[in-house]
Amino acid sequence: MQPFNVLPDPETGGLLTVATEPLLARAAAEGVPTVAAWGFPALLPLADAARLTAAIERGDELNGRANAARDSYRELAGVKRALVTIAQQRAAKAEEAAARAAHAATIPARRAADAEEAARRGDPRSKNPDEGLPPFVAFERHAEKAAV
Amino acid sequence: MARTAPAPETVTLADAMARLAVNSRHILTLALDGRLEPTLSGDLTAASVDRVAAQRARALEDS
Repeated sequence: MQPFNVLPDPETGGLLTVATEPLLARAAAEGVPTVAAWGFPALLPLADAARLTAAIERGDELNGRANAARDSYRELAGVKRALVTIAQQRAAKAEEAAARAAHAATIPARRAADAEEAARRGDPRSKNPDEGLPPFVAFERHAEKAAV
Repeated sequence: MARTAPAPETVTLADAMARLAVNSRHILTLALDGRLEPTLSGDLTAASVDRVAAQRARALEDS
């Protein structure tokens, strides 16, 4: 509560106060009449000033709480979006790893099929699948075997 | 017929924050570290929250 400068009301004997601009604006908005006295064009009765000030402070507090809640909600929403992104990235990685493993699992069968096909054609590579292959191809085959 | 894996039990972000007594940014850090497992719905698997809660309890006991 802000301290008030208090003046006596020359007409009613009550108390008046010199109000701040926001307080006068609030009084005008709520239709609270002001009093012209002591050379001031608009003084407020002390009781009205106190009531209006409390209302402003309550409003500020409510606004503050609403702002904090909104900020908190935004932060939570942002973190939740980030969690979804992390989960999506991990799911994509797991899927990729599963696809790689599935592909690697087919290598022995494909190699056996190649060897069988080569044997059927009488290809000498049926005995040693790497024989006669360029070195880099043989290397890749070994790498695939190691990966399995 | 292909069988799909059952969906893991999940904990909401707010519940995980309450359970671990940390704020949302800390939850995010734990998820980035790989200690918490987020789901595609933006929740966290209950198992990962349990693990982190247990780790924290152990750390508190040790200290």
